[in-house]
Amino acid sequence: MTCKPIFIVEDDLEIRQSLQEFFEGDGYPVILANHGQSALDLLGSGSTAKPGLMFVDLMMPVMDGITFLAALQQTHATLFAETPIFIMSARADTQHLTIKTTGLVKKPFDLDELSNVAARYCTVK
Amino acid sequence: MNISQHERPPKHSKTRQPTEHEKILLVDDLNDNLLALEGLLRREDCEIITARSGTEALEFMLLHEFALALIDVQMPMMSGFELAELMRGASKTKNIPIIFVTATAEHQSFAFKGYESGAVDFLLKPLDTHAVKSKVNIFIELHRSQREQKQLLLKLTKTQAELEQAVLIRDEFMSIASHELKTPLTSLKLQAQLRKRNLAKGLPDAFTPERLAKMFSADERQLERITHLIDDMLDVSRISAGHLSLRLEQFDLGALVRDLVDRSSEHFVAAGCPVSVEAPEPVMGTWDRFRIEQVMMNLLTNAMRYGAGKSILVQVNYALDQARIVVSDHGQGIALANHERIFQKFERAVSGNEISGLGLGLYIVRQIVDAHHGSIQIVSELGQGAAFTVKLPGRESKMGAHHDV
Repeated sequence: MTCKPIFIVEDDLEIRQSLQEFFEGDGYPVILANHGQSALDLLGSGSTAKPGLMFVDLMMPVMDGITFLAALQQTHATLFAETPIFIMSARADTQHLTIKTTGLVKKPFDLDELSNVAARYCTVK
Repeated sequence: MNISQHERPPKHSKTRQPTEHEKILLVDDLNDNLLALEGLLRREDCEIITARSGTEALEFMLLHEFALALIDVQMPMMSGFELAELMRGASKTKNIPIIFVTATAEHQSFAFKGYESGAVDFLLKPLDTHAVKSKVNIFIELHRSQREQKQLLLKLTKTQAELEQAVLIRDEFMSIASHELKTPLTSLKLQAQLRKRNLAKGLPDAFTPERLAKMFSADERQLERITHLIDDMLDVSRISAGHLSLRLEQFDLGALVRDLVDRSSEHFVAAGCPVSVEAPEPVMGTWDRFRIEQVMMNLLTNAMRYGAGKSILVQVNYALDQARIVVSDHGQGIALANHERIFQKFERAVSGNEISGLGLGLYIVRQIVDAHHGSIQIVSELGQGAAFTVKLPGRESKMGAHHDV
């Protein structure tokens, strides 16, 4: 069984590290970015594998989640269309979001939920 | 929130202004008539202004706000009626009620288009002093109550705008506060679940003494973050409710600063911002030790956060009779345009989504300094670092034992 990489955009260092530890422990490759701009830079450099799934935080310095997703839609249309994208937010609703995403995982996280999402989109049988 | 709200209003804010004098305009071409009327109408709460012609009357009307004009009908050059027509044509004068003074009863049927009923009245010569006084009184009272209504309406409109603003700020605050609180909570919950899983999997490497030590200090950091956020929120609600009380005691400000910096020096050195203290002599005064520590900690944390990894200097000394603390950093500095803004609630020098903390630190600092009857000033330019100067009443401090903001 091989796994597709999980791309995580999150500004809080400790949350980022814990998510990395969790997903890598379950066998998924993890790509990390600490805000929208560094995520764009990383994707633009072409040095990363195509992610099977993205988790994107909303409130981040330099470039927030929504600005990042709008930019991604512009500059990486195919990737944006093909990659399942989950917002990570303390808010339970996504109605206020101007960008359509696959779903939302609520903070604080439930690891079972994260595990299910990863299994659904990043496990290659 | 506007700036003026930070200048606290005096304790007993004025609820009622001293009664303003109502003004009455008397217009008659004969000086004797004016003198007689003035004598008749003189009262303490009214100012009487007299005009000898329609032209002079119009000039006065542009300068003053009249509750009432008593106008003689028969005047040379411009009759009382002609004057009334002119008054009706200008916005400043068209609403001044008029009492015509006339010798003939037939004028009373004169039609005044454009005047509200009751806004025009007549008095017949020879004047009945009682009738004159009571008519004038009615107009004066009417004008007074209209003015009070206008003031009330203004006050209400202002209050409504302030309330709407307060609701907006509260909503924004709730959103920022929940984000700020959820971040350390998310981290803690994530770690707790991870450890449980690692334990269940029986991973021995997950719980080595080194990793455990790291975990505990990470947990402590997150818990401190939460505690700090909640403390700030509580302080702000105390300040808003006017309950920031000071527990005053006498101590040496220099010793307090040195002690505080010693205790947290590790923290600052780790951030690349070593703090040095210059406190050459004891600086004694009567202040709230805990609150002044809070002021210092906030200023130092800010200096560290925006200090670009350079050293921070704290100076404690006397400036005349005041105790003075200066915290200087060599960081990015603060543009002049933002100097006032950063002391307001929920504001930070860096705007947009670069959120870190609630934006309450300097607001709380200013409130604490104000409660001590001190002052805080900032000297900074973009790129030039920043120096915050706090001055507190020292030596001959005349503060009471307990003070409420």
